[in-house]
Amino acid sequence: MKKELLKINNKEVAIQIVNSEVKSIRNKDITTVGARVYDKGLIGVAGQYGDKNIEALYKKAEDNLKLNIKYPCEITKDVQVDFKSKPINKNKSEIMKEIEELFKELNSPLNDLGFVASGDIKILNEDRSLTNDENLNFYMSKQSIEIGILLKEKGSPDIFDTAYVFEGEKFNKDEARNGIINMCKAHKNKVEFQVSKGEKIRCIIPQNEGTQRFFEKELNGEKIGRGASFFSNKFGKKLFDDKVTLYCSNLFEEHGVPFDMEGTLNKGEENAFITNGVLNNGYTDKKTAYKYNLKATGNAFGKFNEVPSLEADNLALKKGDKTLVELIDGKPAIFIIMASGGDFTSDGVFGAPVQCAYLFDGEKLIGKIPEISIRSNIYDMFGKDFVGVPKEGFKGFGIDMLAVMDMEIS
Amino acid sequence: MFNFPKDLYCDVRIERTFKTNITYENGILTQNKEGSYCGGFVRIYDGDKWYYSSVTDDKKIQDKIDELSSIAIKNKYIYKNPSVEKFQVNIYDELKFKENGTKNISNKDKVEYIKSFIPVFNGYPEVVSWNVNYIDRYVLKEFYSSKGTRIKYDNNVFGPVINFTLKDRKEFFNHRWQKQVNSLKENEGDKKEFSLAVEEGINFIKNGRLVEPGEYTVVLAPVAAGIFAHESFGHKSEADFMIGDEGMRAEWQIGKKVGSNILSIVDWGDIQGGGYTPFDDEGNRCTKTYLIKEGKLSGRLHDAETAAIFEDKATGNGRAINFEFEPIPRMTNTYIESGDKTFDELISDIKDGIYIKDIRRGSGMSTFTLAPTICYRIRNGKIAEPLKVAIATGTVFETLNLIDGLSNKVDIVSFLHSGCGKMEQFPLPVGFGGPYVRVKKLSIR
Repeated sequence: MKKELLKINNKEVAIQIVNSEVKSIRNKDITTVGARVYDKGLIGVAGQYGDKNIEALYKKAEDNLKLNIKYPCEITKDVQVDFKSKPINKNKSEIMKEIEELFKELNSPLNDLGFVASGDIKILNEDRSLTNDENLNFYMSKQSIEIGILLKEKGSPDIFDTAYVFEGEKFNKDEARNGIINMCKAHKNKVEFQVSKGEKIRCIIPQNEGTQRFFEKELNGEKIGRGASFFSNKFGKKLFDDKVTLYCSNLFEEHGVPFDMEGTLNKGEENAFITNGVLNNGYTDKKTAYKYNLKATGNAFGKFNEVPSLEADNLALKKGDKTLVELIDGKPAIFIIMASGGDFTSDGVFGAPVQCAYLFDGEKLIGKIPEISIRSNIYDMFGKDFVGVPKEGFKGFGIDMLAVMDMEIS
Repeated sequence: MFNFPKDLYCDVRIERTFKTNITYENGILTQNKEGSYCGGFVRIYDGDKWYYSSVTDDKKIQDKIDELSSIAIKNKYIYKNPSVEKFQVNIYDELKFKENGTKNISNKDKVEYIKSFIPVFNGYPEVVSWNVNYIDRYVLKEFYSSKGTRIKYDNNVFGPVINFTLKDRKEFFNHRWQKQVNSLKENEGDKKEFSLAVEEGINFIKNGRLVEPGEYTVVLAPVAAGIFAHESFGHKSEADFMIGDEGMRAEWQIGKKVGSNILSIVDWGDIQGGGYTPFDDEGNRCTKTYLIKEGKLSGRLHDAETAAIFEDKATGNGRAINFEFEPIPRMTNTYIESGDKTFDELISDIKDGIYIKDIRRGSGMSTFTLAPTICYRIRNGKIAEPLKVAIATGTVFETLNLIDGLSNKVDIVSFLHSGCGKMEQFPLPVGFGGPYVRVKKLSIR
């Protein structure tokens, strides 16, 4: 019988902004622990909040072997690695002081521009370890700051009109202030945007805005193994543009994690699902890889108290070597801030409403365009209409995982 | 029970949760999880700022109260603060599911229950991949405040969630069937209902035609109508979005005409199911709040703070997804009230329209969007062939005025596997629904 322990500690200070003022401060320090016992091809799991009485937790996990959940795989052995993100550039009290200052400084310009700010700023610290009887000792520690500020134009019937987001380890008050003010200024500048039916426009889209959801669904190893994936029988073929390389990121700055919950190292780009447009393989955990004889990619995730299960929520496109200006190439382009509610059909057709987008020249947001819809399909948007991934993000927005593709709009 | 600090407002929310998740994936048991957890959320208010903290050991709650009290600034007038004045003093202790909840059903019985759905797949070779899940969630909530509120109530939801992929020639179709049930004993009717959902999916993949984009008269099934009400108007009624916007408050005067005369949208926590919230997470009792009544703006959803700002009554809508978060204005069960037609009457005079039977998701800003799964063409007053539709969309306020028919029965549902998201807080269990709703014109793509 082998034992394995997953321990996650999340510390968080969240500063909530309402009506452009600090309303509350929330502190969190929560530890969750998952104990796993492996015996005779079975797995038993038990979880708890807090890290006391671990032996009792192992006993529960052992009792859960009787639930008869098969686990016909070897646990990871003899690996010891520490991963640490860059530390946050300021201490907690400095950040909190600067946030108070930021919103005092924003109060007057936001009022003049006719906006109300709400949302939160979080200082996050996650420690995660996975250890077992077979000399596995994975540890990661990630620090980051998340800013999510919703900006509502006064008098607008919408719950919010635009948003400024940032995630990283460097908090820069001046950058945040300028980003928010420039976004509001662009929003006030309503621009005409006439397109003829079926015309395509260059779109700069955050990678988490739904355009990669189809890959997340259809590259699932279980579906591939069952022949139930849209991409079944298409592996090894060049289906997409040369500039498309898609992988589950192992980099903190791409919201990736270096190892999964089964202790498989996530090799990131080295294990890409699509390389230069060629569809290589789907994503798997150990069980799926074993069951269908697929390549193991380290995609076992899930909750701390569960049997690890197949997930891929940190898909990333490989950055190219061109800037946003070069990718836009002088063509009319829009920066999509919010395209919520769209989806792919089962046959890969994509449609989404764009609630907020700005005319964009690669360096600055020029003006707000009216609400539009975008439409494409998985082969076009990542094929002939795929323009590229910029080598760096757009500082005025805070998100650096972007993709540029031409889309039909209406 | 707790030693609350002097000259500060304080409340404590404790959640005792029991959850089960059993999953069979393509014939193999892959998950069987049962767990009980306790978590507490402590709030202190000094009239200027709120201070929050979460704990996972209920014995440490008093320590957290003391710790947060030491940071807050004492305010001897705190109970005169308008927000604090909106906190009701309620005493309530009723546990409906303590004895007969899913916590008391053996894991073996739950496994047998969910396994009984698996043979349904046998008759359908078009099903190429599936997972069958049993989910239950029991939550006992306790709430204590320095004003004297003492509340204890519970809720229990459970049922199957089944995902399956169908294949016909080179086409695939991903579908889901789920149901919140009241008992694990009699499920022959549910199995039949599930089998009909599989057959409907097969008909859809074999015979579904791509819709010609355009504007159509559309009939929304209750689930689609509920999501429309929730996304397009429910979120706009959450009063925190109006804070600091005097113009919007003036624009959104109660009594303003915003929809057709037959339209009434309600939010009410006292309905059994996922959105059941007899008291909110601030200890205030839920109310039946008309957001729209007979086409006119009728109410907003408040927590205590927004009720104070808007000088309204607290509506019992201060909710948090769990003990790690603070309550904010949220929906509970949001639904469109019924009309006077049967479904057949509703479609009888539609020459060429679309019936949206099921949807994956929806969203709503000025424009709302529904992403349908199963749709049918309505031709000459009858349901005809299945249609593939990527999105149905319209301008919210225009669409509210284009509702021209409602069926005579309301169906309220809640999703077991997901819920409502607002900023960082996702998923919150909510209910949504309505009758069948006819809209004169929606844009379909």
